Order: sequence, then structure tokens, then C-alpha cells
Amino acid sequence: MVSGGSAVSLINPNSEVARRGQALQLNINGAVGLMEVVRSNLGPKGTIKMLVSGAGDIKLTKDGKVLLSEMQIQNPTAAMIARAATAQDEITGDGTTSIVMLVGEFMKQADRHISEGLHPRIITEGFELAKKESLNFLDSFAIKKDIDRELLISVARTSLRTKVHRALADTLTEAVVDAVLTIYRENEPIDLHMVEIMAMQHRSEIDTRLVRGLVMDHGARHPDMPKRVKDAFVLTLNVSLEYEKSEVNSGFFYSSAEQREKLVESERKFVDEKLKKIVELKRQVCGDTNKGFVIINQKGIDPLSLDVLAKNGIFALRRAKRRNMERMQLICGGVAQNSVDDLSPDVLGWAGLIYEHTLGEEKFTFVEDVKEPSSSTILIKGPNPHTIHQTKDAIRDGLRAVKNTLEDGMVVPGAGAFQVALHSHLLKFKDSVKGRVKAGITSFAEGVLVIPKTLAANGGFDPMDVLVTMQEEYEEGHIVGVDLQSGETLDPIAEGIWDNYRVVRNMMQNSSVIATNFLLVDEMMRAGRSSLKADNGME
Amino acid sequence: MHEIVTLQFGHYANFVGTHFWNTQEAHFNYQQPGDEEETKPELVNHDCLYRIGMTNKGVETYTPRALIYDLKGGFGSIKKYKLYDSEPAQGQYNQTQDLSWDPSHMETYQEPAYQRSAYQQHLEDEEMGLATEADEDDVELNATNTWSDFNRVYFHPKSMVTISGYQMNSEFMPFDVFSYGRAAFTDTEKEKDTYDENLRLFTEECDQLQASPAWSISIGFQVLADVLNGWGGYATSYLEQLREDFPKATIVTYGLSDDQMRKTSTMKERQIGAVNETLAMTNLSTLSSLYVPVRAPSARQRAADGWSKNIRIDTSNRYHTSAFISAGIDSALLPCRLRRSPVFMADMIGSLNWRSITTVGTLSVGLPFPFGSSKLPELVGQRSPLLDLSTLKSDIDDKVFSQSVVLRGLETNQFAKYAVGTQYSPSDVVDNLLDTLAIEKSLGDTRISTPFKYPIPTSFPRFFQGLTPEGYQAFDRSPSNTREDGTSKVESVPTISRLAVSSTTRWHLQSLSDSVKRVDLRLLPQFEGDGPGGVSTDEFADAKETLLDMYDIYNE
Repeated sequence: MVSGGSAVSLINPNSEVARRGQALQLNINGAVGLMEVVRSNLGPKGTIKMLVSGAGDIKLTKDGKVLLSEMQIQNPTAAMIARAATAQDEITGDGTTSIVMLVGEFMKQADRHISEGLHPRIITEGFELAKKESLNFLDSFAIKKDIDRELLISVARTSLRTKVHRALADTLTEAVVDAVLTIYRENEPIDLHMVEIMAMQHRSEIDTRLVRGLVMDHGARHPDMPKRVKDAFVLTLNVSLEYEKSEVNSGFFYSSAEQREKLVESERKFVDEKLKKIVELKRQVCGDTNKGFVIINQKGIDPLSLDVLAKNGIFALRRAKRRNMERMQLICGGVAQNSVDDLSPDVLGWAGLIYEHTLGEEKFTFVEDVKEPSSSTILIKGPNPHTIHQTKDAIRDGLRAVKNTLEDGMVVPGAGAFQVALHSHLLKFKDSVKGRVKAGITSFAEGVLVIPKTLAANGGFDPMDVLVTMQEEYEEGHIVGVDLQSGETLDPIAEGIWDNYRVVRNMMQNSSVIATNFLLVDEMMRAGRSSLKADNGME
Repeated sequence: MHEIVTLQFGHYANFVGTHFWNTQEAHFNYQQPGDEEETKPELVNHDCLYRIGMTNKGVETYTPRALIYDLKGGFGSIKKYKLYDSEPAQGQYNQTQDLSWDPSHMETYQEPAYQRSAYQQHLEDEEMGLATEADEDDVELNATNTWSDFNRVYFHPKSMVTISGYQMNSEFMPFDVFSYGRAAFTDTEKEKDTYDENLRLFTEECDQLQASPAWSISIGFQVLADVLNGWGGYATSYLEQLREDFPKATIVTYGLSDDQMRKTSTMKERQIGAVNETLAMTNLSTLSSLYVPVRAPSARQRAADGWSKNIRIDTSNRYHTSAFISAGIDSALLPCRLRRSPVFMADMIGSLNWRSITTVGTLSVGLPFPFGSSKLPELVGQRSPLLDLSTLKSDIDDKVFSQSVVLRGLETNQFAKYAVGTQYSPSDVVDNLLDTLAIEKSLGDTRISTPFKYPIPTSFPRFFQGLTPEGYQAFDRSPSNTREDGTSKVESVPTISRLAVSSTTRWHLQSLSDSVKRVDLRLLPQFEGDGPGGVSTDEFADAKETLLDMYDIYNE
């Protein structure tokens, strides 16, 4: 190979070049360093990390993705792995920690062979074969099941228990499952945005619950509007009900105050016309009954308009979230309106109860008691911002886990069972392959065991003891995982410990690709000031 | 009421913003609870910029309607939840509700604690009663690293947003490309929903009602954004979304740049900077009601102009230059916040951009406005008292299309003696005097003169010299308010500032256009990128075209 490094130095004498062995070593150090950071996170017995910022703000997390995005990572390799691993979270909602573990371990295993003189290319060829075989094996190992609520609860519980403490995980489990089931329509893609997540800083995180309806983070802005409306028609609007200066009457064009007043008045009339149509509709549907009338508007409503609405007994919210327009239709029925031209009773939705709740400076509006809603709200409670954040992160992951299961139609036995089985399978597969690539396959097979070993170690058990027991029982034909209560083995299928099929699949795919890329780097250069060598550590 | 929401995008923008908010605090007319009867009239309606809130414990708060965006690490020592703190400090942590976590299973990662500046330490000591406000002036500030070091204001926790994916001063992944900003906006919104969760807090409560009950005026936004790096892209994506919800709102955007942002050591850096500026300029001027490019004053200008007589500014220090810019920004929109006969932001901007196609404006500042206290001020001079921060160039042929000049610190009664025995009233004397200012005249002149001077909090750079405590030019050799280093201790200064739409802008457009003319975007692959936010060669070509169109508008 022509020495590319010297060529670069020739062009830019200030650049620093790390070549071949040195570059590889830097990458391996970075990957292993990052693995050590997240290692203790893995599994339900993993430790929680408290991140204290330079200013003293606290963040609690057990989620690999959150950890990696919050930490300041200085090592370039580690930063790139962190980026790639968190990208996995984007796709599947879980598995970040596992990817980082697998990448680190793959590199570590490969290092052993490389230091004995094997070319990294041979190892990565082995990785490629092993990865393909792993994905095939996963398809046979995953279990197709009828997806019922019970299974979904098992999957959600498995995911949530790795993110938050047990009591909270168990509180959230049913909430996330029922939230997804509310929005799920067979053969239609699931849009998780239709589940609203709302937080109230108040009480304890254990009080987090599912609201079959919508909770909004604002209230009516007029003192005379009712705070509690029963049996209400709901009008969802995206119509500005405020006086807005139009382009033509900018300051330059009117010469006198009267002229200006006139212009403003005609503009005002325009708004009044809109209000009139709304009030007419209210009279038409409510008549003299006690039925309520509620407006949820995405645009603004100015005080004069609020006044008119309040006088007519209408409860109105302004500047609602864009997504709440869609959610309102799914919860109350009716059709959201972009103008007041086509108002008719048909466009109205209905809710049994709409009420306001005040907490400090925050107001909340609850829309509840609705007929067959197909959207819902998870209402998070918590005593402080960091508990709320952590709960919110966990809920997002839990929702993804449930969605994945519904869409995959199959699940993978968890608690390390897949990795133990895969290891055994790959060792047999290795024998069917000729040549030195075997080393790559062995490295890969040994690498995947990092998951069950770490699970056991985080549970406080001897990883080798646990692993050996698992492997023995697996060879006897059982599917076994780690029992983190006893340190013995368990049957994940009987215990209902399930991982998402797509999470595991992505995990295998990505970790192998990332490790391969870094193993094949034979040159690193940097034109900047700071040194490559001084940069091994992580902050 | 006429609410203005302030949006700050970028580290330098936050330097400027911090000075801005410190000044607002200095505008407050603090009163002892006892002497309510002798209320001094408030000159400024603070409710424009501030909101009333309440913590969960029922304590009332008064915080800026502001959203502050910065990179990870950009907030320095600011504690987000300080004002709304509802829990014991970290030390007592395990004794609280989190017992549900097994404490043996908790690991703590402590970032190195951010070294609080001496000034912050002093402010904290004051709260504890260990130091006095009077000593604030003795605390050294010139070595300030970041804006939080001299911040005096408590913000609402929702005011502060750290964007996803980028760290301050990262060599490995710098936030230096327009496209990165657009992608970062998408990522940050996906993760934090700041548009719905943070901005809506401030906009939903806005009534947009003016004093007169007959009409209300749409909400105003004041935007500060760094434009030579990724923040221009971030602000662009943000304003695109904002415009959808507030199609008729008045948005005034200041596109900020300084030498630290303007990297020029290699040709590539220069090109990237120019492309960033082009994209920010063309996009933000379309999305804003008025877009005002603002450059930090440079050493070169300082040598050329006479404005530095009363000011000893270190043009390489962000803490200094941002203060200068902030003085201009504060005064420019002051008429909108006056308690008596305010000018509506929509009207002011509407008359500046009366052709509605001239959305690029200029900002000029005179700090201090050179003005003596004991004799008739010499306003007549060869030089304009204004320093143009937008174009850095002025030409005798320039045509001002419209302008709004705000002069602070001229008190009519100071001129009473000059009116004695003449047919003029004191205000005529002032008017006559102002007519002699060496400032161009235009068709759409608005001139506002208020006795209300620009207040100087202790956090402001101590760079004035030769001024009396009231900020007027001193005639003594060494007045008693002179510090050891020769600077003057002042409480407030007269200023002049001007927002204008002028043909001067063509120089800026021309030089920008020249610097991107030969840039081949294919050689700068970071712009196209592979994810969301990428800038295609077509988009860039359109932006270049837009620059030329804009040039034609201003080149009349």
C-alpha cells in the first residue's frame, strides 16, 4: 500500500496522521470506552445514572439514548458510534445500549485476532457472513403469536422495566398498551402522535395515568366563561378570531386618525361576521337546553371576540396545538373547520364533560367522557422536572415497543435467550465455512454473549456461572434466559419476557455494520490543533 | 396591551440578548412597598416584554417573554429551574421521593461544575445579604467568557432550550453550516417539541389588545439570530413554522455577526461563511417584516470614525461589542414600549417598509449621543453621530427611503433658558437643534425624542470615558466619577438610534453577491448533506438570484 499518510502531510504539513495499527487502536479504545460507560445501564437491574450538568441541573436516566445524547463525548470514534446508535432509537425506539455494547465487544474480540496478525478485512468478511446468518436465525427463533392485550402488556413491561423503577414501570405498562390500542385500526399504520403526552408537575410519578380523552395545557382566557361544561358540542376550528392588520392599511397610508379608525372598524366587522356565524350555530344546536358549546381554535381569539363568545355561554380555547386539531376529531368526532363558511351541526363533535384545572400558573383543560375515542392522552405526574422527563422518555419507548409488536406480528424471547441460542448456532455455522474467515465468525459469536453476561453481572451474579448454566440448558433443548431475581435460568416464554423483533434485527444489523466500518479504517487525520493521541479519554 | 415575544438563536445572539434583558431590568422602577402613594410614573410598559407567572408554591414571577436557544454547554452556569425550584438541592436528594430507586444502583456523572463568574458570585452574595449592590461596580467583567457570566435576569424554565446534537466549541462537529441548523431544528422539535411546549406558553397568553378598545394589533416578534453559522438555518426553519401560525404578525429580525463568527483563515471558511450569510439573508428577509443585518463594530471602523471619543471599546471582545449592539436594539423599538402614546410595532415597521418589498433595513447607533450638560449642545457637526452597524459603509449618494430615529436624553426643560426672549418654545429649540443633525432626511421620517435615557446596569461594559454620571460630556479634566483606569462611572447615557430602509443596503448586497458569485456548491458538500435540511444547488442558485433582485430594489 502506498503510504497515504505521507501524502497528506505533504499537502498539509500541520495535519496529524494516525496510520494502520495506530488508527485501529484509537477506534477500538473509543468503542470500548463508550461500552464501559453504558455497560451498567443494561437490563432491568442496570443502574440509574444521575447526570449533573455544569450548572447543577439534574437529569436521571437509565436510557442509553438519553445518556448518550446528554453526555459530552469528546472522543471522535465514541461520538460517531453514539450517533449511529442513537439513530437506531429513531427507527425502533429501543436498543441503543445494546448496540453500543455489541460494537464495543465485536471490536474487542476482533482485536485479539488482529493483534495476532490477521488482516481486519478477513475479520469483517467473517462478520458479514455471521450477520447474515444471525438474521436468518432470528427469523426462525422469533415467535409468531396472536397479538392480544396480554402479550402487548408483557412486551411493554419488558421494555419499561429497563428504563424506570419497577413500581413506575408497572404503572405505565397498562397505560401505554391501552393508549396504543385506542388508536390502533387493523391494517392501518399506527401514528403515535395521536397519543398526547401531557405532564403536570404535581404529586408522584405513580399517579401517571391514561385519560380516555384529551388534556390540553391551556384554559379559557375570559373570566366569564364556564369552567365546567357538560354534554357539550365541540367545534374544532383553525380560524383567526382576532383583528389583524392587513397589508394595505400600514401606517403610511392613512393620513388622519379618523381614517385609521374607519379602516380598523371595517376590519373589525370582518371578525364580527365570523363570530355571528358561530353564535348562530350554537343557538341552532343548543336552543334553550342546557347543552354546552365549546370551541377549540388553533388560531388566536382576541379579547373582544372572547367577550362575545362568553356572553353567549361559549367556552373557547385559543392557540391549540396543531396536532390537537386532529386529535379532537378522533376523540369527539366532528370535522375541523378552516373557515366559518360551512358551519353546520354535522361538523360538530361531542363530549360528555369538559373542565378546567389550574395548577400554579398552568391551566389544563380536560375533554372526557367521550364515545369511543380513537385518540387518548397519557397524563404524567411527577414531583420535579427530572422525574417527569424520565417518565416521558420511558413512555415514548413503551409506546414504540407496543407499536412495533403490533406491526411485526412476532416477538423474540428476551432475557438473553436469543443471544445464547445465536452463539451456539453460529459456532455450528462456522464449521460449514472454510478458511480464515472463521475467526471473524467466532469473534462475532463470542461478541453477542456480552448481552447475557452483562445482564447477569448487573444483577450482581457471576456472569460466567450464569452463562455456563444457560448454555448447558440450551443444549438440552430449552429456551432459557437469565433470572435476575435468583441468578438461575428462566423460561422467557413462560415468564412473558419479550423483545421486539425489529429492535433485535436492527441491533444485529447496525452493530455489525458500525464495527466493520471502524475496523476497516486504516488512517485517521486531523488538520486542527488538538492532538489525536491526547484524545483517548472521555469526559 | 401590545405583546412582543423575543426569540434568540445562537451564542452571540444571547450575548446581545443578555445585555438587552439586563437593561430592561434597569428600566424597572423599583419601589418600596410602603411608599405607594408617591409612585413615580413608569415610562416604559414592561408588560410588553414581560409576563406575570406563578410558581407551584404560589410565588408570583415576572419573567421575560423570551425563548433562548443555544448549543449544549452554551448556558454556562445558569440553572434552568432556579426560579421555579420545587425540590431540595442535590445534597438532600436521596431523602426525597426517589427512594423508589435503589440508591446502591445509582451512579452519578458530574460534569465539571461550571466556574461561576465573580459577578455571578457577587449577585448571589447579595441575595444572601453578604454583599451590597453598591459594590457591583468593583467586580471585574472584561474577562467574561459567556453570556451567562453577566446575566442578571431570572428566566422562566421554558425560556431556555438546548438544541439537539451539537456542543459548544466542538472541533469534531462544529455547528457552522446553514444546513446543519435546519436539520437541528427538525431533530430538536422531534425530541422536545419546543414550538408547542415552549413558544406556545408565551404566545397563547398574548391578548394583542391595544389601549384603545376599538382595535387590537397583532403580536410582535423580535428575533436575534447569528447568521454566519448553523443558526441562520435554525432561525429560518423556526420562522417558517411561525409564519404559518402568525401570517400577519410583525417580525423584526436582527441577523447578527461578529469577527469571531466570521472565520476567514482559509478560502473555504470564507466561502462557507458567505454562503451561510446569503442563505440567511434571503430566507430571513422573506420571512420577516423587517430584516436588519447587524455587524459588531470593528477595529477598522473605530479608527475611521470619530465615534470612539467617549467610548473605549475592545472590538475583539464579544462582551463589549454585544453591549453596543444591544443599546441600538433597545432604543430602536423603545417607542413601541412607551407607556404614553406608544407607536405600534406594526405601524412602525409598516411605515419603514412602506413599499413592502424593502424588507432589509439598517440599524445605526450613537452611544453615547455626544451632548454637553452645561452649554448649548453642539449638535451641528460634520459627522453624523450615528454608526451604521448594518452596512459598515455610507455614501453621500445614499438615499434613505424611510427612517425612524429615536433620541433619548434630551430634556426639554434643559433648553428653557435658550428660549427666553425668543419667539420659540423650548421644544422648538430642540426641534431646530435636531434639524441640524448630520443625518440624511427621507420621505418617511419619524422622529421620537424622549427624555428617558439609556440606563447602564453594572453588568454593562465599563467603556465610557469623559462623561458625567448622567452620561453627558464632561468638561472637567477628571470628573469625580472617573475610575482608576480612566473610565467614567455612569448611571445612564443619552443615545440616538435609527432604523432605516436605505439605499446603503445595496453595498452590502453587492459585496455579498460578489463573494458567492463564484462559489461552486458542489465543492462544499456539507451544504447538500444527506439528511433533511440540505441545500440543493438549485436552492443556492435561487438565493443568488434573489440577492441580485434585492440589489436592484435598493439601487435606485
